[in-house]
Amino acid sequence: MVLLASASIHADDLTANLKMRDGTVRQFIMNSSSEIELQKSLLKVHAPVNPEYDVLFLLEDVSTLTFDSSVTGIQNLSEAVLSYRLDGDMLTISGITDCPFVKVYDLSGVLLSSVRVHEGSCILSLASLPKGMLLIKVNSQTIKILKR
Amino acid sequence: MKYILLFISMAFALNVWSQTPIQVQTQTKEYNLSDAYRITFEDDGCTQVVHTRSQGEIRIPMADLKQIHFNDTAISLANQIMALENCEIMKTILFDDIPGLPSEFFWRYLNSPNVKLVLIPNDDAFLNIPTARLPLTLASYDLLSVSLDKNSNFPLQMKRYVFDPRTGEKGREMIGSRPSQTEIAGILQRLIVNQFLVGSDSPAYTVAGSFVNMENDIYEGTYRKWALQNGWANLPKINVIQQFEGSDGKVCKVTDAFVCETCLTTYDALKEIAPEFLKLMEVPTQFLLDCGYMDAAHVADVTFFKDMEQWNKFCWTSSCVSYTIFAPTDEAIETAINNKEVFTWDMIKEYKNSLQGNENADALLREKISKTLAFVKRHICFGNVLVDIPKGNTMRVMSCNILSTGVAQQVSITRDASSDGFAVSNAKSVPNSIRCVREPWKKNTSYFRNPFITLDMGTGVVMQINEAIANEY
Repeated sequence: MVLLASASIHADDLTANLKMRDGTVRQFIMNSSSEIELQKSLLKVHAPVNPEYDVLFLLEDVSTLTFDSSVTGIQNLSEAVLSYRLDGDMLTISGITDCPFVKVYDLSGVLLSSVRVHEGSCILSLASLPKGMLLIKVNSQTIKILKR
Repeated sequence: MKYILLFISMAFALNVWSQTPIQVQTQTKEYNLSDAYRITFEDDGCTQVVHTRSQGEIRIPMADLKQIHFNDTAISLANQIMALENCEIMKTILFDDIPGLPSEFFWRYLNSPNVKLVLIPNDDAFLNIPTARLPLTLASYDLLSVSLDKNSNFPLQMKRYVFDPRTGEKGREMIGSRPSQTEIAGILQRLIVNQFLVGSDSPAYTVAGSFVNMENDIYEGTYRKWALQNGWANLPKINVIQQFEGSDGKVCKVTDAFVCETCLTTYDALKEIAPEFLKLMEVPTQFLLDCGYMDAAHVADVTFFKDMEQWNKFCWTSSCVSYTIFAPTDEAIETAINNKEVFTWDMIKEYKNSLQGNENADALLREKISKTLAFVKRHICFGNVLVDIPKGNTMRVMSCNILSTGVAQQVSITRDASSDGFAVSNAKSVPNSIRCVREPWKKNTSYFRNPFITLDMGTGVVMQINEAIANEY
């Protein structure tokens, strides 16, 4: 289990827990003003406070979706959880295991950035990265973020 | 065996339609929703609102919500490809994360609504992949052979063989010229995207810019077609061994050979269909430097073609890999010139001479240069319209190339339901004028004895439009 840094939890935080079909669990910390769009094959999380970014999931990868408010926290989850939140241009990732570096690639497979993991967490600045799809490799999983 | 697999695939596919995509489970109730499209939140996140097309908005207190379950309805193409036999190399490339070959690169195309047909070359096809650069000459042919070693960190090996396309004879291995891992990844990336076909009528085209003729399950790429035109009849045909359909309507066909790539450049496509627009894109950068319009550091901001004398390479500096150029016809350019929406570079040079002694010369000249550059830039858009916009009168807004002011005009584009016609802002595409193009360069890394084909590819579409896009700024 991974505990989120309390400093990063805001009053209106809402945690989307996505149980993936491969058994892993992803947590995405969003805001009550966030919207989740269900497109043909995509689950897209868009937050008006971060208009430049969309977080994407492939619908066929997602088994269930539940929500927790910041008050209820994540106590119900027993699986290893990869947790992330987007705050402005900063992406905070927690729950990183066996992965000394978090690497960001573009769709062509070009390595754009590599950030060292410290005690299972890291903070990525997306500001200087190019627009387009950003693929963030962590824990043998890929976080997909569309930068507009 | 293949018929059993086909039957199972079809049975799954039929079953798909009877299920609902999501179930919203509360403490007391279960909603089966087939057309939910958005989830929002109210009351500071205490209420969840599920937006559906048929049942309107469904409000569920967060305390009452158990979970939203996504049915495993999608017997997707990917699932079925994973189950294929004798396609281990393709499965590894598509679904494993190999350095330089991220699976997400292909995921984008597997999930594109416009990709209707996916060809999966089987493992035998990987043993003999003819390659060539353009123009086709006997000296330009090689044969690649790819094998798989799952235990290796980089699981794909590639050897090059001498190949004679006249006889189809595979010669000796070219010792000492085995591609590096980076080269292998780049070559395969380009080869594989030529197996994703947009459209289902013959000729179809691949997302990487090759056209494919389809007749009675025999496929012929432009590469083979051009070779045949040279009288070289022994390049392998592409035969379909097995086929199935995904729940998303895409068709997948296992083939015994590759649809090999060709390379029509942006320059050549424009030269063919819109020579007057091409002249506008050939910006005289030295002239702009001489008249102080820009400094040397900003040459790239206004240059559409680099190294004109040598390679005529389209300069696409965006991180996006695809683009669409809506090239007005020569007649449309003439109209735009008459309406003073754009000026030829010759006109601008003459205008400069006529301004001698005028105290506002700089400002007047700049106005004309800016107008012409803005004209060109609003006809170049981010994204590949053939891949990104589905047929069926769906309107999309695309951003044009960014102006020096940092803004980009938005252009609304609608694709016809029945044909490949496009409505572009105030203009329409000209029938039979669409060309898929590819720029086989970006970095100066060479391979295949070819100094200018490199690992990155910019892919795009060039098409004629009957009117210039109006300036909205």
